Amino acid sequence: MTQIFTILWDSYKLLTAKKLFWITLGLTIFIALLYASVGFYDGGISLFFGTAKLDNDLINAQSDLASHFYMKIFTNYLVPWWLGLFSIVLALISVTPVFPNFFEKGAIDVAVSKPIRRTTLFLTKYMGCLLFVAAQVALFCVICYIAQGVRIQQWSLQIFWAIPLLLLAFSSIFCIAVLTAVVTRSTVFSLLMALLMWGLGVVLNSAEKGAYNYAYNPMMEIARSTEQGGINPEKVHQITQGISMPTPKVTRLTNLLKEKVKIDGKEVGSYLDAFLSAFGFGEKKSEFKLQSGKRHSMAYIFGSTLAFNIVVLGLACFLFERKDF
Amino acid sequence: MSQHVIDIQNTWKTYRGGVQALRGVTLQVPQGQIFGFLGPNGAGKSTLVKILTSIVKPSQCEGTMLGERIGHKKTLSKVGYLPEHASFPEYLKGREVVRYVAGLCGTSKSLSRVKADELLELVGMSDWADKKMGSYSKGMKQRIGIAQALVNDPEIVFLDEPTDGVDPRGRKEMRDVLVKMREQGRTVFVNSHLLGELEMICDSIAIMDRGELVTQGTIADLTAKSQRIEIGYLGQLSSDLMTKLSAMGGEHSAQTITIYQKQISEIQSIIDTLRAGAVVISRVEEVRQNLEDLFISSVSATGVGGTQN
Repeated sequence: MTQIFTILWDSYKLLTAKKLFWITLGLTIFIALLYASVGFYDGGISLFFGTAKLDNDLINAQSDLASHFYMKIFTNYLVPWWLGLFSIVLALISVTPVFPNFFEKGAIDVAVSKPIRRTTLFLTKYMGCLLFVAAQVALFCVICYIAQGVRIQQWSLQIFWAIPLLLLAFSSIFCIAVLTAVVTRSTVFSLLMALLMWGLGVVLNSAEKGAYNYAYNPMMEIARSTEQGGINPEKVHQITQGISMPTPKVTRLTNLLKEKVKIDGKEVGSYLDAFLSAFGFGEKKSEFKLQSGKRHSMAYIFGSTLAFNIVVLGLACFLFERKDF
Repeated sequence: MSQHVIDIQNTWKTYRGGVQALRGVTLQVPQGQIFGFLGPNGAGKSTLVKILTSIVKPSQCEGTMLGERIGHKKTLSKVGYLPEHASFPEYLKGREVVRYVAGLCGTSKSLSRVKADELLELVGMSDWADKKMGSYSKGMKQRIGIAQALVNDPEIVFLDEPTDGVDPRGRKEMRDVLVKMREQGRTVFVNSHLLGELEMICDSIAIMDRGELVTQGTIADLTAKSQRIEIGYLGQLSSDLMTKLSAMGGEHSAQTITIYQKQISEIQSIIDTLRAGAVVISRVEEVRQNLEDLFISSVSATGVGGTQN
């Protein structure tokens, strides 16, 4: 255990030595505090801890919608956009050099010449890098948890699902950078490959979503019936689903949080959308859209991404185990 | 366990791409000695050290280190290593580097604290121990490198170019540290190009070239073949006298008579012959090849330089 704690301690020292870590952490706290600054009064919504007020008849301290509105900001905007995109990109830029630097001649020699298995060394180092994301997401969630408890009296522990979901999402991108680093020892190439694979995952998963929409959306019935050439839309969807299945699903993972966080048993997003659309605000989601959003189970999304992680990381670990330095 | 802490035979290493770094190396390193490992660039020295420390996997290797097969992970807890061009994390302080390596070796936190203090004192870095590695000179980094190599109380210490970047005073101190290690019963395996320094402290050496071991033994034994006595004289020798000297085993050139592999007591008759011929003797000197001459003659025999490693 001493060896594992030593590697984790080194990772902690490495992260805290990086300016980008503190910048990202500062931004994370700032955004979480910005969220916490939003409150409700009898006549509407207050911003910046009450310094600005927006009158609103629907969303105010007297309305149930306030809770859903406040939670939706968290599940639909803060998690997918800040944690699921910007924070992941910043984390990638920060931790991608860790493995190429570790593989430098003179540095790797000391580590692998010690009485510790290479697999342990590799995986612990990897876990140390995940601390970067874990620390930020955990702090963000804690601030938001307190804010939600104080502002809308919702002490919802489900929001902490964001930690494993985002860790898995980040890991599924970072493992590609690590595999590339094992092969090439290049930071730039590792980062490029990770971003490329992330982009490929987005494209393939979007293609699958489009194919599903074309194959099953009742609104597409006319288009399907006029289609010439004997293309079977369901077959196309099956193929795209097969291709996209082994790819990382960052967006879908972060969207899972919407399913996890509920208020009085109701999903935050759908309840608010339905309510607002009844009053003519926004468009009510069709039955198909709701169904489309749930076409893949949590087990499928979580499981396929986890499997991707295990395969890529396993391959990286295997190569590291056999590599001559 | 034998008296050899390292006893390997038939060690081969072929890198991907077909580069043959080691070609059937057989090496024995005696316990408790300072062992110099020499060879031109690309001879395969670093590859062999890396095989012994599990950094590189051999294509083939028979034998043992500290009584265990090569590559046995637990044995590495008794091994210290300072790589060539060692690079330690710049974000750590000198003391933290030593404790980090102690932790990787599985040394407890309390013991590593004590060991770090002792070793930093030993290598003269106590005053700088709490400064970041990024602020150190190359020589200071090497000193920290030596300290980390000793933190697990190793039985064998591998030092790859330990005096690289160290100033002359630092080198002297480094030699003293190596001698101290030997006095503590450790085996010190030094890979270096600084032959003069090695000659001062090494008990035995091995010379490699082109992936093969050219020669191995104590410096005294290896240079014994070249041991000779030179007698300098003034004036000219008569042809009669030269014939006599040749018959007695002396070789004549440029006012010097050279007698190979004989003790001083065995050449008294030659001196007597010269004195009887009224020859003025200017000097009588026992000459032995130095390590540099031995190195050059060893690698010249096979051709200097070798395969890439």
